[in-house]
Amino acid sequence: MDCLKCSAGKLEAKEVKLEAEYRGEAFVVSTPGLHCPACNYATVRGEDMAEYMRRAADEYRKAHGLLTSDQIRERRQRLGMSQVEFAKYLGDIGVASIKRWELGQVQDQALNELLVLKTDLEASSRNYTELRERVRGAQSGVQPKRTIGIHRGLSIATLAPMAPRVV
Amino acid sequence: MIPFRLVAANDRRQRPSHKELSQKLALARQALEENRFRPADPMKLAANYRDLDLYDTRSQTEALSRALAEVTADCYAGSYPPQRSYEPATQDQELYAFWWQSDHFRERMYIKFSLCVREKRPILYLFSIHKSVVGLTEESQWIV
Repeated sequence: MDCLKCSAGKLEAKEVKLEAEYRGEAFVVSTPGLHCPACNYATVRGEDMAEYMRRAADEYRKAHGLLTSDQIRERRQRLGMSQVEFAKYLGDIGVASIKRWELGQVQDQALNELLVLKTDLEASSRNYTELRERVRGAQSGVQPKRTIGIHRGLSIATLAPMAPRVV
Repeated sequence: MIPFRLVAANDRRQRPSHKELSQKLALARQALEENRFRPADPMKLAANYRDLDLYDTRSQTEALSRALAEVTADCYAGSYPPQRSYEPATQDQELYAFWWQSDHFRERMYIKFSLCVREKRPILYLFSIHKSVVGLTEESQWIV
């Protein structure tokens, strides 16, 4: 197909690099699309849009330390769960959310931590250790010197009602 | 006072005519059916799709198909004659904009596209599809 930009080259289907934006942040994504060897113009076809969007979302996720869509799908499949089962396993969240995360909507930080804790044995173990230290600290009045693990938000939230009253 | 759009639509010297718009819409539907459609600007269209909760190819295609099925020439929201595009791939192509009350989206919607013909077949370039930011009162402008 002729390139509409230069009219000299023929558009070829190949992996192209395109600018993308997610939540106001700019990224360059590599995605299936069309490329003109004559003028270097690159774009995507209509049917490539979903993949382009998913890859843009994944770039944002990587930049913010969130699980990518592939990682979420892999973790669910490793547990042998359907999307419906996985949604229930995560605390009865909507199955539509699972579908969207696997397609390209970015999960928020709190739900990402839930995802990690429920799918990663090491993270779950670290969280257990931190929780245990915090419970002990709360009972003895000594708080742990440092936070262990990466799931501080969830642990603190869990512990909040158990903390001793400061008079 | 006469509604601006009524003046424009009735003036036969002005284009696009009702018939031309109907033909453009038919070509847009044909291009979509034949899978010959592209985003004019992928970044902008991605933002539109996200706002409409359209994350997979099937739902995106279905939404466009439903939108083009609902839109008629009466919904034309562009100028007479149509404005032309500044986007690199569609430079100088005429832009066709429509707004309409959508049953599918249950919203007042806006869509803008251009059409290019290559190898005697239309290619649909989609510029935007989103909830209409123009209210009913603005649509029915009056010439004073």
